[in-house]
Amino acid sequence: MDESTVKRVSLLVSWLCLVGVSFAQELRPKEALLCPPATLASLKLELTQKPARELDFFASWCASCKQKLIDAPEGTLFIASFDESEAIETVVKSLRGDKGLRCLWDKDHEIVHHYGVKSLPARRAL
Amino acid sequence: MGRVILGLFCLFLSGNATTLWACSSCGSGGADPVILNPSESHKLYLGLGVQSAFQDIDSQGQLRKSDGPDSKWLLELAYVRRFTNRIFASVVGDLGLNQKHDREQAGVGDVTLNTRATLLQPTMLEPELPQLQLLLSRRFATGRSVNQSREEAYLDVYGAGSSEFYAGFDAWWGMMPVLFGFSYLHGWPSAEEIPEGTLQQGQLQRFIVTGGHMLAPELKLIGGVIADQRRASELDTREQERSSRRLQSLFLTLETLHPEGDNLRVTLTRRGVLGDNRNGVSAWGITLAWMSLL
Amino acid sequence: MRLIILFSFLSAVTLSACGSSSSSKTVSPGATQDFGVPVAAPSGAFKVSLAWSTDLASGTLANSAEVRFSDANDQALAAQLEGFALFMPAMGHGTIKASELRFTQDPKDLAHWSVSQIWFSMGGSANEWVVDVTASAQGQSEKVRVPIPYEVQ
Repeated sequence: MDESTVKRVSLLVSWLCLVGVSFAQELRPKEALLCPPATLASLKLELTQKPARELDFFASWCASCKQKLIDAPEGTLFIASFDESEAIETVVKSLRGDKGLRCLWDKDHEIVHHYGVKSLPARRAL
Repeated sequence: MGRVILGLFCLFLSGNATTLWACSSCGSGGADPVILNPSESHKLYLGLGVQSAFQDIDSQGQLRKSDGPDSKWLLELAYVRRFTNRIFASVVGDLGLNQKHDREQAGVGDVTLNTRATLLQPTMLEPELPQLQLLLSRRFATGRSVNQSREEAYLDVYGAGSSEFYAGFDAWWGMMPVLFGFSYLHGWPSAEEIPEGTLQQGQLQRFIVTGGHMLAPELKLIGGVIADQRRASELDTREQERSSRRLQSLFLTLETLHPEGDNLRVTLTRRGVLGDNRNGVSAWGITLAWMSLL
Repeated sequence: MRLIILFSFLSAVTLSACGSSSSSKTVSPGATQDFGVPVAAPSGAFKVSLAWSTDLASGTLANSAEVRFSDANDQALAAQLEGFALFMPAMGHGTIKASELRFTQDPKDLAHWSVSQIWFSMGGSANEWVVDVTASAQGQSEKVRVPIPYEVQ
């Protein structure tokens, strides 16, 4: 095997390891989450049991979403979107602390697709 | 020039990017032409570009009249799709049209597959972190190369000649008042069979340094330098003298950033304009691109 | 203010783009008939030397060359010229219109050949172009690379 082939194989192996890490993070066992994962069905059930005035979509990388999270107006259900659980939990814990937040994580993008959300921040009145 | 750069730097300190947009190599012409922002799942890209005012740069860095086309048009089509929160891939193909005086010829260019994996992403709590992406690409030599050319002035040349595998990284500070980033790509070309024997181009090192500013909430301006170095080539395993290449180019890109609609991008490039260049081509270029979020 | 600074940046780019045209100091041979230093085949079966009989220029079939074969003692050697392939090692490509080449052997001097209708696909500095001469002599066919020590305009 010549040098360039060794390099290519090494890079490919590194790439595959990174992909594996990426998937592993998403498969990690869940602790008590501030924003537990939700599906469209579970969201509808949640709203039936405890109605909300609006859905507010956010992500940890959305700097424009920050103030709304800090204010967390009553009657708002926050939906963490296009993001990963670890980053969401860090942001929510840091901004809300003990106050907590009514929040769900749209893990599989069902909720954003249903409400036609393509960018953040986004708000949908209910 | 230093004062202009300082002025631009001071200007860029005003304003702030409120979300993460794009990457260091985006819109430079030096890497995959279209990427996905975190909330995007798939996108279509159509670019139309033209290069002209060609001059050859010989092995001693001297500019010479070009014997190639007067202008080269390129119609580029790309599709990019997200596979996980961190990984997306694109496929890019192009059609070339070369013109010389009253003659012209069109043909298919090379096809490229690109993947990006996001390793690190800034958050609203840590906007000073860079977005760090790994890049992996493969260019397939589907276009006719200069060694396959049968026409005067290389009118029928649309491809690089050899397939190439690229790996690299892209670091981008996209949430700071000054948008800044840099990329590095390493290329490993495949050998090419030519009439004279087996030609092995040298490995490529590509550096891209980018700076920019949000002129308006949905309008981004970036510019930078692309520096290419390619090691000496080999013919039938014998290194060819004075065959290493160096090319330093400038680019300037203006791009709209409508989050849910179509976007436009204009890129100006000036190839082979900075520093010590050799075995390359100097040219002006402009590309107009349309990107549609699907 | 932003427009002024942007215009300044674009002007700086434009001004820095002005390059100087080539002014290679090497003089092409004009109408001289100087043969270069003979280059030996790998096996030593023969040597080749070239004389370029016209100003060399790209994009024209007006270029021509004289080829002389000699033995190890630099004595004229009858040889069969089989190939005359231009190549540019720095750029990794040859040229086109190889089918236009004309080989003519001097009937009175079998060591001497004329090659006409040579096409250079691009210009280059001295020694950027080479010729891969393929010939057979003394029962051996070989390829010899001979540099072109002149600028091609």
